[in-house]
Amino acid sequence: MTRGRKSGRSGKRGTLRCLRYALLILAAAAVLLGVKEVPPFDAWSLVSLLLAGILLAVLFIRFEEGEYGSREVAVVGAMAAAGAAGRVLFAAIPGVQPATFIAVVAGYVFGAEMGFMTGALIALLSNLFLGQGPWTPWQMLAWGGAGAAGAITAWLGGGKARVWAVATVAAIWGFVFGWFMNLWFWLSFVYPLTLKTYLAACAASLWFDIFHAAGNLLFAAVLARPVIEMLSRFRARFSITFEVEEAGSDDMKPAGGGTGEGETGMFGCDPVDVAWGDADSARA
Amino acid sequence: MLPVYREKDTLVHGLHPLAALALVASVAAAALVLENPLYTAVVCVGALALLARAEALADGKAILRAAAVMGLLVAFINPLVNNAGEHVLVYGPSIPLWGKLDITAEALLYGLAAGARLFTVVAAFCLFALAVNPDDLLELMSRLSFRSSLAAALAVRLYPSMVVEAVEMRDAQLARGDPLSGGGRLNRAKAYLPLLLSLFQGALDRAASIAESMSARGFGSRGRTRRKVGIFRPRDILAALVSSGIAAAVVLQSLRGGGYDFFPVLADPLAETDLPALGLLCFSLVSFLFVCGSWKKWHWWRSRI
Amino acid sequence: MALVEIEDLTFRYPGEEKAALDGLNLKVDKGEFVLLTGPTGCGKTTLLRLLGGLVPHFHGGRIRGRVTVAGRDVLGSDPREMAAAVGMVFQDAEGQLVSTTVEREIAFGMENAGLPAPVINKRTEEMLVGLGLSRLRRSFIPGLSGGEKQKTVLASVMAMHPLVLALDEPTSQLDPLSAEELLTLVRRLHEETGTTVVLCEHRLERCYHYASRVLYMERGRILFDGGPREAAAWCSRHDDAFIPPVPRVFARAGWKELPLTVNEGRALLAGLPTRIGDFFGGTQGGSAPHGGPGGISVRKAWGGDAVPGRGSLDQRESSTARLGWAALGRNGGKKRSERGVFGEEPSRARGRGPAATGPEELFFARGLWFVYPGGQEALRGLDFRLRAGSGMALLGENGAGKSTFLRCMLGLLEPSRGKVELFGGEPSRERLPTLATRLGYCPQNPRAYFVCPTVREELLRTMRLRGRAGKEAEKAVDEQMERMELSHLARRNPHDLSAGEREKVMLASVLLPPLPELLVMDEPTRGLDHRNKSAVSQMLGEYRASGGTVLVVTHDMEFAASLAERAAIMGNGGIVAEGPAREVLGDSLFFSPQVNRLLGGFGVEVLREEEAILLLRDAFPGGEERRGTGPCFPP
Repeated sequence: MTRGRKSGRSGKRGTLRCLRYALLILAAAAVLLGVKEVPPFDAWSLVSLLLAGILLAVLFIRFEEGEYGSREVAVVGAMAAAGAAGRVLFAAIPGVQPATFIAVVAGYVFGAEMGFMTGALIALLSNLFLGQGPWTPWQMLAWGGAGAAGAITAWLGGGKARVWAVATVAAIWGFVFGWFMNLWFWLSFVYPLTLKTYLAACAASLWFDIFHAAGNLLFAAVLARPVIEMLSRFRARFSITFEVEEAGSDDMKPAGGGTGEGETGMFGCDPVDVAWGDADSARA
Repeated sequence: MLPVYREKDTLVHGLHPLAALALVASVAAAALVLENPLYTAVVCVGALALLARAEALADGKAILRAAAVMGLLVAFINPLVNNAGEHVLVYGPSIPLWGKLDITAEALLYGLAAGARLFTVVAAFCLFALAVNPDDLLELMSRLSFRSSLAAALAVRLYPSMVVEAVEMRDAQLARGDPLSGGGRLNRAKAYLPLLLSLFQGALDRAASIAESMSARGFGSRGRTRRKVGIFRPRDILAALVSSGIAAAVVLQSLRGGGYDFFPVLADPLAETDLPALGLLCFSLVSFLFVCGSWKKWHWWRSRI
Repeated sequence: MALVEIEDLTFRYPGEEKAALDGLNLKVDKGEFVLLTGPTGCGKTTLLRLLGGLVPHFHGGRIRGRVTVAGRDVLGSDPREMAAAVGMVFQDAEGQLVSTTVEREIAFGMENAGLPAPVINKRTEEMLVGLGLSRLRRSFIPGLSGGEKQKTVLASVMAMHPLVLALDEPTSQLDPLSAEELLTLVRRLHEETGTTVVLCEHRLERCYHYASRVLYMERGRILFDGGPREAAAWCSRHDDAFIPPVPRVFARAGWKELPLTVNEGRALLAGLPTRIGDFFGGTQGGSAPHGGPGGISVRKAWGGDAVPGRGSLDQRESSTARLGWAALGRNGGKKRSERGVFGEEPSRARGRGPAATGPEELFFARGLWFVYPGGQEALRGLDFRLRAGSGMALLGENGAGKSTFLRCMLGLLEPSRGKVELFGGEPSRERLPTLATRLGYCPQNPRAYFVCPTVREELLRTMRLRGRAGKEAEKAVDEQMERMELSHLARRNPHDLSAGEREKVMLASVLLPPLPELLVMDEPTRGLDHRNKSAVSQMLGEYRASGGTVLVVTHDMEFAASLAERAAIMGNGGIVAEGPAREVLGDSLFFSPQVNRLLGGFGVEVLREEEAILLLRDAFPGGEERRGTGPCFPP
């Protein structure tokens, strides 16, 4: 269903692109401001939050430009809901939850943009119910990144479903996720901002990260193959086409819309042909 | 109870989402940027008072408690990793590769202040989550990015039914004879894996039928329009003024008063404060809190804004 | 030119060899109300999708033929442009709603269609008021009831002012009250707006007589097309599962004249002399043990195989139920063999103690309270008992506390107060899995039950969880599938099955050996058509006949009447009525089965179609000339 996508879009696309560049410039400005002013004026926490927000906005707008159809949008929403609901199933087991795995697999099958959206939405959604906070944009980035990492894995693997590759990435991302969240924490609430203090923060969360990674490894090892198959089947329907078989009649040309209006009063009361119904009833 | 949005009759709930967003953002920014304990205290009290005015304290209790724990954790970890500061409280041992593990009063106080700032930021976000209708927000977002906000709305809509399904699934499997447990965390997790797979299957089936329904209603047509929503009221202007007041106070303090130093010795909080900025901050917060309170009481006032 | 024209249309879904639509021809004029009937998989849904352009544009596949809607070629135009012309409502509202609030959902279609904002706002308002949704304008959609959700879908579709409204079993997931409301709404929309309606529905009693045309489809073809009266006559000869209950009982009783509605039926009967009085006066069939006044006694008299120990279950006599069913039964002729299907399990024997000691109580609840964290009192001092060997139907409105009660019963929720005992012990989350060989539970949502990729693995899993594995288990599974005629589904994914197949597979799994003593079912007939309902009902009948105890939560009075000899109605957190099914169900004004309302004027509580058929056949001598000759009993 790719018909008629050229005209009419360019205007909107142009605006979106301009907006994106504007956001990028703003981001750069924010970074500069943050760097220049480091020690006395400690704006790192705010700047980092702004950066995360801007990055998210850019990526969300990219998704908009992707011109995804109803299936793509629906599957992203549903996967995100399943991922967040999956957290409920595993609520009793601290540290183990399927969000990272789902984001990685979604990225693996559907590509970076949809994977990112899925991961980011899982974070947004579960925090809607578990509690939003300054950590939300960071979690969105971290889980969105898991989706992107999944897409890169697929790209490197040449599109073949490799369970071990997915498992490795999911496990690694268990740590990356933790370190990324530590980065936020460290930037905002730790003094001084040195490598040493950052490592200390990572050490503090190590136990949690190990379980997260082990959980991801488990999910990927057991579920990667069936889930990838399931999603691939779904993806196969993204670009669905139909063929028209010739039946002798040449009336297959589009009836050329435009006369859609004014149909009132034109309906002759053709009596409905029921002959075949009776013919078949005789058989019964 | 999970903190989720509930409609209530307060001024904060009645704000346009953009105005509410500005308000929350200014409070969070003040908490994040201003390290001076004096400011931290003012902003923290202000945020809590706003929560109370929005009748959200009870709903937000769980998340605030969690934030308090996190804040204390920050206060506890900071002195461990940070041995700057003059006044050493406890002389710790020297650890190889790490250095001396001294606990200083300054680091402890810094930790406490950082914890309080964290708490304040969470309180501000809590206000946002509890008093701003996520639907209005999504609708606002859909102007910027329709597809992403639609996916988000869909996820929000599907989540409760997916949770119900997950719980039903667990119950049904228990009744079938699967104890869904095992020794250790990972074994327990393993018992749940088939359920997760089934949950995915359900999600994909739903996605397929929702996609069909979306197509049947013309999703993806060109020239999509939007219904008209959102009314700006005088109160939104008021909220915008208050937010800019807070933001101006932050900028003023940063430019004129500078930052605040905990190390090597605690600076005098009052001396480091730009008084007009503090005044502006307090005035903005107090006036808004006053408006929130009076709004409920006086019909005349209420009907005008 | 007709509004919808389909010519020689053949369509195959991608990867399918079998044609979903096979040389189909159809014309629908403006303002018609077309009812589509036919068995599952006959192509009804495909036909509706075709109208909306979803077939083939959305689903793909191979197509031949011609379709035009409002003069526009469906195959050649962008389906997105067709959306405004044909509004589609599908089965499950859950799978159609995309927004978080009612208002936004209604605007969704119009926004896609690119209508100007003032028009959107106006029509949204219109729909909210017109469909009675204005109270819910800003409600969070997941919090709505099923009926409200489906109404929201309808509003969203109607807001686009479609020329054709195509509805695919819109009420299949709803309780009877909401279903009735929705169908009434559709009728009103048809009457007031003149929108053409193409409806596919299995609650035929609500729409059959109203339809201007009824189509009967099978294997992708339209076999019959005509007015409802002719359709009823034709279908009664072809397959009477697809006509409403009233004409069906008349047809089965051999009448030639088939009234379509309760009113018509009553009018028809009112003019006739009746011998009903004789049947309830003195002809107490000597062979009829008038112990159990419920459905079970009828069956006993009919088939003549009394289950030992059952007759003593209920010593109370019902005033209306002392029917001389045995006298009626003489024409029934057909012996129903109801036993020996599952064989006898040694573990079962204890469930049926001798009548003298009274049957064992499998479950009881005394003064059961349950209060949710929000303070909502879902159960308020509920008393309930379930004896071994009994069949109990639990009825009640949505939100009456039925699910909470079930969850307390199984131990999934801990009661706030009161005492609950299941199989002689306190139910708990930990204990529940250990009861798997004694208790079978079919959740309301079959999705929750299935976790395996194929039906066969699903059944093997059940065996494994019951501690049986290896060759023996495989043999038992294969036998079970054969017995329940499910072998052709063995390799299918349970999630891809139709509602009827899913329910049957779930039952087959639950009823694997060792046969559980107690079967708890939560709304087993939701979304099933008449034929599948009968199949489920029969499977349960066999289970009951082999000594099983059934507790079924249902909205379906006919199903309840056919299955259980006792019934309880829940309301306000407690049991408001409990007793023999005939007493409890019989005098309901709103939810009693249609046949009850048909014959209710004669001072007799008839709950089951079989009973109504017998009465119509034998108690109305004046009806002779309106009847056909040969017996019309279903095979």
